[in-house]
Amino acid sequence: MKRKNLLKTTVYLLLALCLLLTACSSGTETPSTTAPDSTDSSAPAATAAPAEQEGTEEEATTTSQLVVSPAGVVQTSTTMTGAPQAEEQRLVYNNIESSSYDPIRNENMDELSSHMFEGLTCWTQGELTMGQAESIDVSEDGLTYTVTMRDDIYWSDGEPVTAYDFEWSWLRHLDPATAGKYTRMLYPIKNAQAYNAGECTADEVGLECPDERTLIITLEAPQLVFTEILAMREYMPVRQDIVETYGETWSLDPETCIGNGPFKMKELIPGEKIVYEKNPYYYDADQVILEEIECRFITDPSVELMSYEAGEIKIATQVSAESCLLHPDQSYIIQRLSSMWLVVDCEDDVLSDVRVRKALAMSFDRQAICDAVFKGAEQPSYTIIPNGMKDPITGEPWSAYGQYFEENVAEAQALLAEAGYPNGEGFPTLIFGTSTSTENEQVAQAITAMWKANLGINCEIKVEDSASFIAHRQEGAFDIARWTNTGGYNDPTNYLAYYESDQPNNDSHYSNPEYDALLHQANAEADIPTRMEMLHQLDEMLITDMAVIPLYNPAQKYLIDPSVVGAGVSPAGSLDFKRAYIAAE
Amino acid sequence: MVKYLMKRILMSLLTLFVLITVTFVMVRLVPGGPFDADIAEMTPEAYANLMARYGIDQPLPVQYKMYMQNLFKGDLGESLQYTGVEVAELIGRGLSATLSLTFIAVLVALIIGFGLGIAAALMPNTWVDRLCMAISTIGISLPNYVVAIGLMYLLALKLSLLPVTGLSSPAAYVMPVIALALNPIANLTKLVKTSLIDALNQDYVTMAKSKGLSQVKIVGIHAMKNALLPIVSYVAPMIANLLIGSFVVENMFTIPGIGTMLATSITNRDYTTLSGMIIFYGAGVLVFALLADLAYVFIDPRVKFED
Amino acid sequence: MKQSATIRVRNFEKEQATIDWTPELVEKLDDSEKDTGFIAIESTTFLQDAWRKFKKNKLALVGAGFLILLILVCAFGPMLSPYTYDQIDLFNSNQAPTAEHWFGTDSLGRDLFVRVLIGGRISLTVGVVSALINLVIGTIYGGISGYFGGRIDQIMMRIVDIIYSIPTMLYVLLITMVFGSSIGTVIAAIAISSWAGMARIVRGQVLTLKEQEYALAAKALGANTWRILIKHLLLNSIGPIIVTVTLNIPAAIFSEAFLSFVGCGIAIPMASWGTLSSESLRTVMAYPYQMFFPVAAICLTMFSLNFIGDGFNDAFDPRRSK
Repeated sequence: MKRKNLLKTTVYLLLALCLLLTACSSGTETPSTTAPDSTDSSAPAATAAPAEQEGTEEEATTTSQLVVSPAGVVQTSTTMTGAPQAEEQRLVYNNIESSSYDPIRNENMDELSSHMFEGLTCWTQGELTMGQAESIDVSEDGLTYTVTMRDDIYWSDGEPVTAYDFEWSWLRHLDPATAGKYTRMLYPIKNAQAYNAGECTADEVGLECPDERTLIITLEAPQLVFTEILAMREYMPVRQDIVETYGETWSLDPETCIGNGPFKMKELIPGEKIVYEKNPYYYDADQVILEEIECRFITDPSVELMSYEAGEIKIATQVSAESCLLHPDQSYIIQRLSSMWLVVDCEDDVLSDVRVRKALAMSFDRQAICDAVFKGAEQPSYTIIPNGMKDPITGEPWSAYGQYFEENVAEAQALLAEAGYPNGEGFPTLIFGTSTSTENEQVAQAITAMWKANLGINCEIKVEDSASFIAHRQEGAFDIARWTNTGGYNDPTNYLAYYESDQPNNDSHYSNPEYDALLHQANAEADIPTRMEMLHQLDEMLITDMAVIPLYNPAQKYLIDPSVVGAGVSPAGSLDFKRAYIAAE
Repeated sequence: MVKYLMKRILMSLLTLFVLITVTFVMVRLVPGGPFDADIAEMTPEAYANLMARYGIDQPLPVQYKMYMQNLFKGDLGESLQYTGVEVAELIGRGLSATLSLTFIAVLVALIIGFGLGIAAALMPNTWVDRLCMAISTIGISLPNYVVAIGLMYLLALKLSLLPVTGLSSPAAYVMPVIALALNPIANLTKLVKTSLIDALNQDYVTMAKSKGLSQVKIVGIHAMKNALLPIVSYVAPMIANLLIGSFVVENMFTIPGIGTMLATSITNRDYTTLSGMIIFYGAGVLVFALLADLAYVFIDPRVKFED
Repeated sequence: MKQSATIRVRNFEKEQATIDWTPELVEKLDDSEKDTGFIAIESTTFLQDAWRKFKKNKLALVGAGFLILLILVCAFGPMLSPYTYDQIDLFNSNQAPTAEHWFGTDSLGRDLFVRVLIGGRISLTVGVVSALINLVIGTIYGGISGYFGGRIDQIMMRIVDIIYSIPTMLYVLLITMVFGSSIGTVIAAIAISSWAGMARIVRGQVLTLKEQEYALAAKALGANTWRILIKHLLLNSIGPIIVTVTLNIPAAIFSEAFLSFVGCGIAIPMASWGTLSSESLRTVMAYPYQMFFPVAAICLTMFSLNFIGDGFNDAFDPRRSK
């Protein structure tokens, strides 16, 4: 009997010990994040990047210790400043795998493709620069763009890049037979939409190549920032002969994946990693210092963190806010052009009353949610346009223009009472839809809990996986649903256009003829300040009617090893390594 | 025997056919189409083009007919997620990674499982028995993602003994194999011990002992043969399940295997890849089932197959 | 009450030689000795026997004790706590265990102790109910299939193979789509996807046992099919069946945890051990205690169930009486 008991106890103890070990050893590294919020605030315990803060933060009362930076050079307080090391310049990092590296087929952020391909313009260290183009002239009416290409651009097999490559690539993308998913980006071009719908021929599309080095683009209507749009992956060129010979799998084999970017594919092991090497034919090759880049495809954030801490990868991209707090001096958080909001079914019985919608929008504390769930990495937003969206002329962030509503629980309760539901009496249960992801679920729970506490309104949260969720949302299965958008360029129309009446993605079913009219007017306006003024008015209209409930701006978080210098990140959140290197110790 | 085999194969093919059809319908019943994840970014024209390209805009019976016709030619179709890549190629890719991992895991599980089980059965109520059952209990009690994280943390991070992810070196196999094999080892140990003890208590064993046969012969041949029946019932599906159920382990260790592929094809509603994998998996299970049933006949002559 | 047994031995040879058999020579026994089911020891039923053996097994008792304690705590504990499982307190999120929050708080400030207890309710319910459904369906199915053999067996086993071949996730997605992801649908999904294993094992056992002597004897005596099936074959298969059931409960709890891991588990804000451990996986490096408690709960429960299962195994098996 004694032996039995002894062994049994030992087993229990051993197990407990193992688990405790895990608990204890990590515990010591956690900085004190548990100090409760108080208005007589203590200074943040640990700060992240010293880069400039955006105007929307209040330092005094926030508990967040993470600082958000705009797009630019990725650097942290510990980033080294030395010269490149003499040993092999090889960077290993991590990102999500794509099913194809053809720029038009890449379903993730274009990052993995944009190492290998470059458009007429491109993002270098957060700045928009000329890429394959030498100069771009815009006509007075903003409808014609004349592009003169560089004369020293080549593909990675030595073939010259010509304007015909661009023309062919864009037409291929628009070709109905190609069935490209993201053709929407090309619609600014005249007749592009018609061609994509099969209603006209390729010749009628507004593209012309008078010679090898010139490309003339005719637009349907003036665009706010067409030069930024040209940097997007939908406008990157691919090789006609390769695509026609090898079919759609051409980008999965290093032999046939020929691109015109700073790096080219050296090796691809699907599900495991991709390896790039420097492209010797790139026009700027002498400024590119890295010789090889390996990108692994670890999907689990905890595994990625372990990999980073073990030194196997030098940049981690699937980082959670808690991980940033574990390594505050190696974390970098960029304010992306991304926004998260709730669509509210404006045709629903109770929700069609604007007072109800306003009450809902005003009665929860966005900052508290962001602090609790995201440790302040994400920032509250009072409009669906990302805070960081810059005015093309003045450079000011969007949020500097004005805020159209404020959180105010008392007023919200009054509005709800006015609408006929004092303290939520008689208010039906709302169905709140969100997709699976711990953070989304937490946000949903926090918001609905606050609604219950402040307004007495009950919600039923339905969590579904992405495909189901999106399908159901479009069918109108939810009263309130989460919506997120990440734009690649600084044009608010991306967001505002959703809420035109009868737009297929208008899941709020918002219908306002004034809004539609102003939207069309803005789209046709060539004068930029006037256009921006109209867009601000549209934003005001949308928020005054509260067809949507803004939440926050998601941020992109990175962990960067101090030895990585000069990596850049675009406003959309894509890393570029054109000027990056590994510093010597 | 041959006649029996032929009959079984025919039945298996029939089963496979039913399986394919059922999957075909079931998969398309799940809400959300293969391209709905991007629907906010796609225009109606782009969406229409995409559906037309893969023939998804056709009515269901037409799609089914096309699919079966291609299947007879041996063409599993093109993946919806990986543009232009053949499903057969996708499965092949995933298979090589998973097979090497699973093969080793099965081997380890069998060796250790049987070893521990036999030891426990032969020395009941001793410390050996207790230790084996303790290991077995621990193995059944821990979810495999916990084991995976724990191992990674201890061995890869803290002790820097092994690489965190991938299958690039023999050392990299250690953690995924342990994480995969732990549960089967635990179950197998228990089963082997129980079955063996049952067999050892039978009269013929007492008889064999009194006849003076060596312990090894008794246990290894006589008792074992009779104990194998329920074990074989477990092992056959265990192997098949390891192939697909390794999703969690593959996901965490970044191993591009078919477990991950199955999970992602469901999430992405990649109908063709999913169907292809089900066919492959189904065929595998049917083969294993056939082998298991044949094994029954050889092991236990009392089992007869009536036609 | 003990009755002494008297056995009279008659010397047939001696008597045959000398005695003429007449009815008067035969001593009539009184009715008390006509019992055919006479057993020379204290009579107990099968179950009483098993219970007695079970009680002797210390580990099993500990396991049973812990399980009962766990069930009580999970059932009544949350009512005694000042916190509810969905009470959000954003200012106290991610706190390590303190006197106020015995297990700490999660990322929304909810008390983890209550959540683990509520999780226990859910996980245990899922585990036990689905294992039971599994047992009933699998045993009946496997028993019928194995007993009748032939064509019936073939068809039934083919159906089992089909069910086996479709990955669990597909079932769950389908069921979740139609009925929503509540406890009922998760139980249904797990039970449906795993009864095939039980059916196979029972069928295997029945195939073997039905050729054994006592079964043939019962058949020869003209016993009813059902009687043979239930009383003889199934009851004698109880060893492997019990082992399988005790392997199934933890397996069901694991399946539920796996479903949560891939996002198809119990809907929020309700918690189960599976959802708790997979939610905490993301931040396990920063807040390991959030994973420790649900996992410890799973482990300890598994231990107990296993010990109980072993106890049952030893207790019910007549061939292993000590």
